[in-house]
Amino acid sequence: MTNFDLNNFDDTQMSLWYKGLMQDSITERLIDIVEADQSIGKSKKKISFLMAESFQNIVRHGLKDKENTIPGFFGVTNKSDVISIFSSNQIEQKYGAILSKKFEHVNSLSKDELKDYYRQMLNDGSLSDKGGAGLGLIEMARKSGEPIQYNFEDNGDISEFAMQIDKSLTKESASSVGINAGVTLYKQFKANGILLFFKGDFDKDTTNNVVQMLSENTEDNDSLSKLIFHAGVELLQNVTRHSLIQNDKKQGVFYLSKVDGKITISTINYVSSSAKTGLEANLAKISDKTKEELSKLYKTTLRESTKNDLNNAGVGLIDIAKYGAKIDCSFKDTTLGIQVALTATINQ
Amino acid sequence: MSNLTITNTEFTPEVNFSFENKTLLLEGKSMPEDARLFYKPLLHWISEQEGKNIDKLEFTVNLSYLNSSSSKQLLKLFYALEDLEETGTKSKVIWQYEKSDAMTKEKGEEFDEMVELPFSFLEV
Repeated sequence: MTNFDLNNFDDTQMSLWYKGLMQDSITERLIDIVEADQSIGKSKKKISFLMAESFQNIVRHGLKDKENTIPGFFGVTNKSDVISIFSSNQIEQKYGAILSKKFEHVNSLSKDELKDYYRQMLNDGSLSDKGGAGLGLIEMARKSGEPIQYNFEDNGDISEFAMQIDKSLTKESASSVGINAGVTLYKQFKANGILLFFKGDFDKDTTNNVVQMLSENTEDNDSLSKLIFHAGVELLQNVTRHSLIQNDKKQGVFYLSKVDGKITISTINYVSSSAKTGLEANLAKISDKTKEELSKLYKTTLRESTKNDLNNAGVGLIDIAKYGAKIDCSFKDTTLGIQVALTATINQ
Repeated sequence: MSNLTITNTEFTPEVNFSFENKTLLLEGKSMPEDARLFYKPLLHWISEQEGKNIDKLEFTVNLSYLNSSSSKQLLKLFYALEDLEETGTKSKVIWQYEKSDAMTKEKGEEFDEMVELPFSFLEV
C-alpha cells in the first residue's frame, strides 16, 4: 500500500503533515489539530505561536506559483516529548545566503541578547531591510529556546529551504531533534505523494478538524473532489466510531496521497474482533460487484438500516465503492489489538 | 412548538420546519458524527404533526453533502412523512442541487427510488 515505513512512527505521539497551499484557513486548522494533542499541556500557546510564525515565514519568503499562491510543506511532530515544527518551501537561490546570515545571527544570541535585539528591531524596523532578522524570527528563537535549524538544497535558481523549530515539553526530554530527520521524512512523503498525514488520537474534535482540512483541499464541486471528500469523511468517521479506546485514546493514522493520477485515502486503526468480523462481512458484500449491483445493495442496506436505532448506516463503504473507489483492507494482529488498514483508491 | 429552527454549523444543516407555512427546509451540509442525535428532534417534530389536520407539507432539501449516517436519518424522515399520509397529510419533496454537483443530484434520485413521496428536482 505504501512505500514509507509506518513503523518509523511507533514512538511518535502525534504527527501532522500537510503539503499544499499555505493560506490562513489551512493554518488555522493545522493549529487546531495540534492544540488538541493533550500532552502539549502548558506549551500550547507557545506551540501555536511557533506554528503561526513558521507559516508566516513561508508566506513572507516563499516563491509564488503560477496561480500566485504559495505552495509549501509543513509538519508538526510530537516525539519523545519534543515538538518539532518543520516547514519546507522554495525560495530564490540568491536569497539563501541572506536568510542563512539572519538565522546564524539569531542563533548566536543568548536569551538576554535576544530580548535586547527584539527591542532594537521593534524600535528601528529599517534594520530588517538592511539584513537584520525580522521580529517573527527573533520571537521564534525566544519562544523555542533552541537554535532554529535550517537547511538549503540548491537546484539552479531555486533553493529548497527547510526550517525546523523544536520545543521540549518537559525538563527531562531532549532539547531538540535534528532537522535531518524532518528532511528525510519530507522527502519520503514527497516521493509517496502525501498531501495530508495525521497520526494521533482520533477523538471527535480531531476527526472534525481533519475533515475540515479535507474540505479546504477539495473545495471544488466536481465529482472527483466530492468523492475524495466523501471517502475521507466515511473512513475518518469509521475510525472514530469503531476504534478501540486504549489509555483514553483512539490511536490511528490517516493519509491522503496523489501519485500518477491515482488518489489514495487510507486509515489505520485498532479494532475489536467483532468489529473486524463486521468489516470483513461488509467488504465481502462489495467485492467484485458492478456499479448497478452496488447501487442496489446500497438501497437495500440503507432501507434495512432504518429499522434499527443505531447511528451507523452500514453503507459507507458501499457508497464510495459505488462511485468508483476501489476498497482494499488488511488486518494484522498486534499487541495493541487488531490493526486494520483500509484504503480507498480513486482514479482521476 | 409549532416550528423547529436550528441554525446551521460546519457539520450540520440549517433546519426550518414550519407548521404555519407547511414547509420543511434542510439546507447546507450534513455530516455530524452522531447523525442520530442531530436528527432526533426533526423526526420527533414530524411525528408530532399527526392528528393536527395538516393537508400538505412541502419538504425542500438542499444538502450539498451527506455522510452515510445522515442518509440513513434522512430516509427515516422521508418514511415518517410517508406515515403521515395515513392521517391525511400529503407531502412532497423538492430536491435541490447545484448544476456542477452530479453526486448530490444522484443522491436525490436514489432517495426518489426508495421513497413513495413525489420528488421534484430543482437545479439551483
